[in-house]
Amino acid sequence: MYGLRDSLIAGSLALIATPILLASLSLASAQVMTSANYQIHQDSINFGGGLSTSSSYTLESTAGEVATGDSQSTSYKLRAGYQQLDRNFISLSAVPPVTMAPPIPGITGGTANGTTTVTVTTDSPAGYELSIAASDNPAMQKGGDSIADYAPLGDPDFIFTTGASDAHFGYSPSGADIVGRFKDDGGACNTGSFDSDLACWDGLSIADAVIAGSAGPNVPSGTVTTLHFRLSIGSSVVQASGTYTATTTLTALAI
Amino acid sequence: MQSAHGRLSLFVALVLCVATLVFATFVPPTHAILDTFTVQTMVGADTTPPSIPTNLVATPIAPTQIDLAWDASTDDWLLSGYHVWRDDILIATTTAITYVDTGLTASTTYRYYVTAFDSVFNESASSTEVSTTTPSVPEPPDEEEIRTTYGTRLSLGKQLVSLEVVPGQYGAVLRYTTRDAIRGVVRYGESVTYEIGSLREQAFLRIHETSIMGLKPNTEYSFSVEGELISGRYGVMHTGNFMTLPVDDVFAPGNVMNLEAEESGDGVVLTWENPNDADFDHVRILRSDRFYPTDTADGWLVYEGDGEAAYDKGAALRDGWRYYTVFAYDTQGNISSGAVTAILIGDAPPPETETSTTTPLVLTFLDIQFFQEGDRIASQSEHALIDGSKQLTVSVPYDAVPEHLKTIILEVRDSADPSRRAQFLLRVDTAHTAYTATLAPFGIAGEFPVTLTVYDFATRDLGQVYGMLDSRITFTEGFDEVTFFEYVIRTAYLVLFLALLALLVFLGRRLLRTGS
Repeated sequence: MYGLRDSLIAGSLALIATPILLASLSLASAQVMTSANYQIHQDSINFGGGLSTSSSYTLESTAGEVATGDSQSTSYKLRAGYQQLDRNFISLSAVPPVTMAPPIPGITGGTANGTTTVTVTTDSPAGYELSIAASDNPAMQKGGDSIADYAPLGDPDFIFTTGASDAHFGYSPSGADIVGRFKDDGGACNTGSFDSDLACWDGLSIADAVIAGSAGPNVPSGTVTTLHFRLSIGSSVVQASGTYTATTTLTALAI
Repeated sequence: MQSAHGRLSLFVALVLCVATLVFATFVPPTHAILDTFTVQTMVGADTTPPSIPTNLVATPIAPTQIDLAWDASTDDWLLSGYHVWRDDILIATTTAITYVDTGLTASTTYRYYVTAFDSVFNESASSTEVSTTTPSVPEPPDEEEIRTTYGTRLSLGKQLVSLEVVPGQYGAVLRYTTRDAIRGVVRYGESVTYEIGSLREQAFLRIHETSIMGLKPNTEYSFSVEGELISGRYGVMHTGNFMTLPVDDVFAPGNVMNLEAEESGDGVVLTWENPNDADFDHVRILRSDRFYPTDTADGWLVYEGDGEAAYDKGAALRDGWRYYTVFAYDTQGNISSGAVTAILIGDAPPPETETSTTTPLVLTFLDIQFFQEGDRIASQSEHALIDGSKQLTVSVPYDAVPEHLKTIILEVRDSADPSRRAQFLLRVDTAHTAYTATLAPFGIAGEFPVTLTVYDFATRDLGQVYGMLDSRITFTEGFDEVTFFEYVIRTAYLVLFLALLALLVFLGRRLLRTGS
């Protein structure tokens, strides 16, 4: 009986103590506030101060801090007090919906293109990683109909190629920070150091695929990555007409 | 045996607490942020035109100008723009929902309508037509009145409702509003003669914005906001001064590293690594068949951008040497001294390297000065110890080399990999006190033999200086990133953990004692 009581009480203590410890850690070290296009973390416990908000920014003021420094105009960077030494800020610009054009005739086939850009800004000393994933498999869906994801053999294809009997949806990232998989030597991908225009195509997947990253901070201007999307329907494919949608998620990770 | 379960649970609790503490204290936090968006495409013929633009309004502004505005159309897929028609003639294609029609004739009636079109050029029906008449040309202003009101110009000061001047480092933006529609003119210069020039608007507006560019930083400029009324009167609304902002950063960025040239097809592939300056912006690559380009306008432009590779198409069509210089720019417009490389195409003879005997070079390694973060590095006879994690500035005093020299090139080699070498131009500073080059951090420890070569105006090698840079990497920055506050928090966690542990042990022992 004692053993059972011991077990119950000690187990309960473990169950209680661990969440308390976890809660205390998270309360004191990092509370994250996010919106569609910004993230503020490392909130702090202070006496005085408070939150000032508008539709486009949130600023926390603090009171009773000793050190201040690093203010910078025209580039929205301000650090004051002890938080100035925190280095894991990251932001991801909001990406508007992409409407590909032109519409593709369902019988004769054709190609539609769409482009968008995303800016990642971080002051993390170790840099960041930007990855992309689709919500569905295949990504492009319309009710019960779908269009296959572009599927290169191994490395991305330097040229987007779709046969007469195929229909594919793919993407190609470009920018200063794209990973080696999407760089090229002018004829092949995952080799060389070029970022050729509209080259190195891959298909979306429900698993995150890293498309860009850096080994250091890029504040205050951040780094722009351009995402080209392409959907091509072969001439002998009869694709059900309608609007197809690929719900896509970009994830920026401060390393 | 009776308390085995209790001991096991205590052990589990202990492990959980320790694991939590270790994880939270020593594993650096990572932060991720997500954004979800949609990519849409339409399959099937798009034969539906956009909706018809509505509420078209035409407002006569001046004898030569009519302003148009309308409400936006919608499309089932992708609206691309609008066509603006005047008297059945297409006069403009725009993506906006306003248009300013200028160059018209006074006292003339014009008829307008607008259509919308989509991405496959399905075009909507015409909007409701509107007609309006431009005003007549007013009487010319009284010359006598002009002379007496504001020197030789009329004062239009009462026309100015608001004025905002936003100076930048290399320009300024003037935003102003006027009571009536005015065709504004901004004149500017370093004196009240406004000697630099003027910027004139094309249309009569009430809300004005004029951008002045090409100014010098930290310089006072005078400006005059003037304008022409629809009546034809021209006058001054405001005169004033502004000061452009100073340039914060006057330091050149580091040069690119590991610059290499390789023949490929009929061209040359250039690869390099951009400097790690936080404000690095782009590189500009120039090529010459005679010698290394020594400034940013010397030679054939090969590439400009922020990439790390370029293809100089056609550079290998002829035999001979191709000399390349890569200049790095920062966002403030500061320019590095230049990294250089050369490649021989075909069997052309190497460049002339005959040493001049007329002006022998009198230069030693000790004459070469090395700086890191503003501090001079003490060098010995042919050796200098540098921090490989920091930029390195190499400087040769202006008086230490012949006056008639053309180029000084510093070559750095990696003793661990002799095939890796980089060359940099040393450029004279604006005060003509030294020739300098700034190198990006080496990033690795090791010994790097350096050779400084001085060329004269005829590209003759005047002499060389040899030495060794000993690169060491120090690890001090990591400590700085852990703040005192973090230490306090971590210590508090440890105290909390120990207190919980003591409580668990106390309760466990009490339970055991009660049980026995």
